[in-house]
Amino acid sequence: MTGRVITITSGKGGGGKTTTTANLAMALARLDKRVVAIDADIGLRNLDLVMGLENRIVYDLVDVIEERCALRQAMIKHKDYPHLYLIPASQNRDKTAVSPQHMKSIAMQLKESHDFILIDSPAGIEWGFKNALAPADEVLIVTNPEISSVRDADRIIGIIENHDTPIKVRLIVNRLKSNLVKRGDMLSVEDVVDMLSIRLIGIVPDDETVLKSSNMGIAAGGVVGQAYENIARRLCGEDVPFEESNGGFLGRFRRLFGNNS
Amino acid sequence: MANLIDRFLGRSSQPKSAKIAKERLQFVLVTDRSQLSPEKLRQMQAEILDVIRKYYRINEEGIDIKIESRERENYLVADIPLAKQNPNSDEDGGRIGFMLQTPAQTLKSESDESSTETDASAEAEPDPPSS
Repeated sequence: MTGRVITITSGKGGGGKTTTTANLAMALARLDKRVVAIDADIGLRNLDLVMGLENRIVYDLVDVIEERCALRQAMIKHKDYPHLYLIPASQNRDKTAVSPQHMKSIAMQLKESHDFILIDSPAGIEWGFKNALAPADEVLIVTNPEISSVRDADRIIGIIENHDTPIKVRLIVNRLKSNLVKRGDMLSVEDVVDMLSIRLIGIVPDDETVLKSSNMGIAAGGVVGQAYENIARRLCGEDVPFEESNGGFLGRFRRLFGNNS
Repeated sequence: MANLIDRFLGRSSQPKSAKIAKERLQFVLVTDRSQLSPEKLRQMQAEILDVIRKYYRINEEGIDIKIESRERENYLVADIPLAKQNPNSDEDGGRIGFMLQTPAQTLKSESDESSTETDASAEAEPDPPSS
């Protein structure tokens, strides 16, 4: 088995990378995929909380790198999905404990027995991000339809394009408020895709149930859960039509009349 | 009624904030990607025109030089009309057009330029973080 290493990143902090990683990992697990989620945000561990596994941590990523444990020992099995594992970040070390080479070697071992290795990247474009990017076959950029988020995403895409190995980059537009898009007060998915010029893989609506589910450390349900399931299916090669993203009927009508200028 | 149709088609006398956001972003993305600040862009335009003026008579009215993004690549696109050969003729003077690819991260830094003459009003900007 050769798994795919997918890094989830955004440049800007607070855009929903960790929530996306957790929910995608759980959605893929529900599709019977063997999944490992790695928290690459050393010193700012959070993926364990969002996945509801914070009480089960014994070893972490840095313990593996510094050979205090075997890789298998740092993999925490998810309570609901037997084929989903988390490798937590170290909370009391800093990012320099990990190098791109370490990440490549860990990913290489995990690829042998898993379908997907998801890496939750830290914010920024420095060390931690470079570690998260090093083993990636693919990158998912999470951006909010908001100017600073889009600008930072563009910067990240530029850096990935200049990476030494080709990486497939796709876009998740997160926290879309379609009522604001309709009103003309939020960038539409089309606007964001148009500016970033990369392929779209998912649209996640803004919904307060996400807060509830991460409070409880469980998978998001409702429209958001559905959005993540759609992304997971698209990752698996299914042709899932995109959710109605902009002003619905009005939006289409507007585009039909070319009144975008 | 006209008002209703306008609203239905999304027309409005007031530009929507998303539209303004998109315009501002497009502008900033072009300069981010090329790392050409608006000031540097103006400087480069002026110098390019100076070179062309040495060899051609330019119709100063219709000069159009801008940076455009196409599929994440930046191009400096120039369309420079030339003055009529014969002022009484209906034929126009033709035009000079070119597209110059302007890749990111290859600009000389401010310190490299100290030997060449620079506009004193151009503030030295901190170097963008290299990737």
